[in-house]
Amino acid sequence: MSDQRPDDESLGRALGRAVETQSVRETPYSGSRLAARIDRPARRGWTYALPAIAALALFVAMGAFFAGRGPFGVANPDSSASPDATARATPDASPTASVRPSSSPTATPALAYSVPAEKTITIDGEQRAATATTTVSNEVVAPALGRLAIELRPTTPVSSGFWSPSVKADLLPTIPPSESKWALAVTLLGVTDPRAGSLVGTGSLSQVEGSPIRALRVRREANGVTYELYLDDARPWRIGLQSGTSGAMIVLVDIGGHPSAITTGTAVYTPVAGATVGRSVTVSGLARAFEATVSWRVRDSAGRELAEGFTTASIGTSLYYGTFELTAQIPASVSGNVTLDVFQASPRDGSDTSKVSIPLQVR
Amino acid sequence: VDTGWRELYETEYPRLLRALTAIGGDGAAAEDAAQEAFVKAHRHGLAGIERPGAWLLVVATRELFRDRRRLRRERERWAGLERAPRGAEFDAAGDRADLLEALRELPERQRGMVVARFFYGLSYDEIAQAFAVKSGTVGATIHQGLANLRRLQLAGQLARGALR
Repeated sequence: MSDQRPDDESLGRALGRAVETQSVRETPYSGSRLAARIDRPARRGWTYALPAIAALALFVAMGAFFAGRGPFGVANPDSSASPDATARATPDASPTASVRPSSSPTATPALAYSVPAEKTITIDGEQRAATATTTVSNEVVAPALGRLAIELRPTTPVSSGFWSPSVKADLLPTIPPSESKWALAVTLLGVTDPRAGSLVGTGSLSQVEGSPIRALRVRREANGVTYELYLDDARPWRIGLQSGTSGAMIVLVDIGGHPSAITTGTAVYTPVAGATVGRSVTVSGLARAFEATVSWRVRDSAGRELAEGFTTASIGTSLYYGTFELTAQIPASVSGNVTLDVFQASPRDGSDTSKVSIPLQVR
Repeated sequence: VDTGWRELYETEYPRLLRALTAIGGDGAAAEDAAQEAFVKAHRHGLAGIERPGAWLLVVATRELFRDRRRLRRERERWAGLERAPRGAEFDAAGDRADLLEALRELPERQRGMVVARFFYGLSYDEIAQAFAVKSGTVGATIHQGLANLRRLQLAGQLARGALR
């Protein structure tokens, strides 16, 4: 048993003491996942009722917050500012088998991600009857980004045009034991999904890599459908909207993204920081911007402006993010290190807000 | 029915959490891995586990590394873009901190076995059985681990001395 040399033994003992004397925060048995697992069948009613009560408190709090000023002070005429939205949201928070609301206003900070996740978004749009088809992608749009795209096709044909679906989205920690730690529940009112009741994706490792989406559950509601995205951690997320063909609308649920390429109102998906680019750079992402105006400029290493411009996102001045794609032209005289800024000019004084700066190398 | 589980939790959890914190250096990840290990034990059933302490350590360590590997790969993707300098912590327990710091530099297998040997006090045979390797491998791994530890600890002490 004691096969070490004496000095090995003393080093080992010192290590043992070091391990022993670390300061740790222990979870008592009553708070452990093991206890939750063992107690669950007996206390089912309470396990689910308590979160519902907590949810009610959370929604009332969120409602007060939204009614006060609207998130991030962005003027949003059709946001959840109406008391009606808060009242309507409450019943939805009733027992969800696997999600537990948290009373903490800030999400657990996820490793390497600095922008805190918003907890709740309620968009008071139209409750138009529509059929949904979904696509889940991980790292297709951008590195470290998971996307659920929900295409809504109205049951009665409409002339093409923009309409805003009614959406409520909550990021909630799951009740342990669970395969994931967080669930983002996105409820679309008036919508039906033929796959409701199913669990899509099994959380295979290839799917988890680089993106937090483990699995997707589609649940039928009394008046709509809920998509539950099971996540490894609480990363920044956003809900975007763009129009599809013949009256269809596409709701984009984006999770993650490069931490240095996301700010409150802007998320740049391409190009990736540090990329080598040509003179013509395609810039794409999501923005929640006043009048949908997204500005950009390219600076050299001394900070001199080389080129600039702006574009219009698919939707503006809303709780939704709009998608944008633009081409930035870099003058032929430039090569080497440049910085691409994507930002929104403040409607008040024109200063840069929600700015994302991406270092690039021009070939 | 669950008194056995509570007892197991109360005996094994405190040292498991400390072992995992030492091995991984991240309190939240250690807590997560420890909790997961107990849930796995419950799923597995106590009847099939000969030495619950060692079993939990091995399962939780695997869990810890699985998570860390995923996070590391993700972080490496952005390596060079934002490398935050790691703040050194100096305190009276500097030596112990050096040791723990050094432990986290060891290869994963060495970390697990060194902790199993010197914190859990398991014999080579018990470690071999728990980690499903030959007894000789355990001896060699722990020997290498300690040699690395000594070298790294010394380097840490020198670095601290130089910075003072």
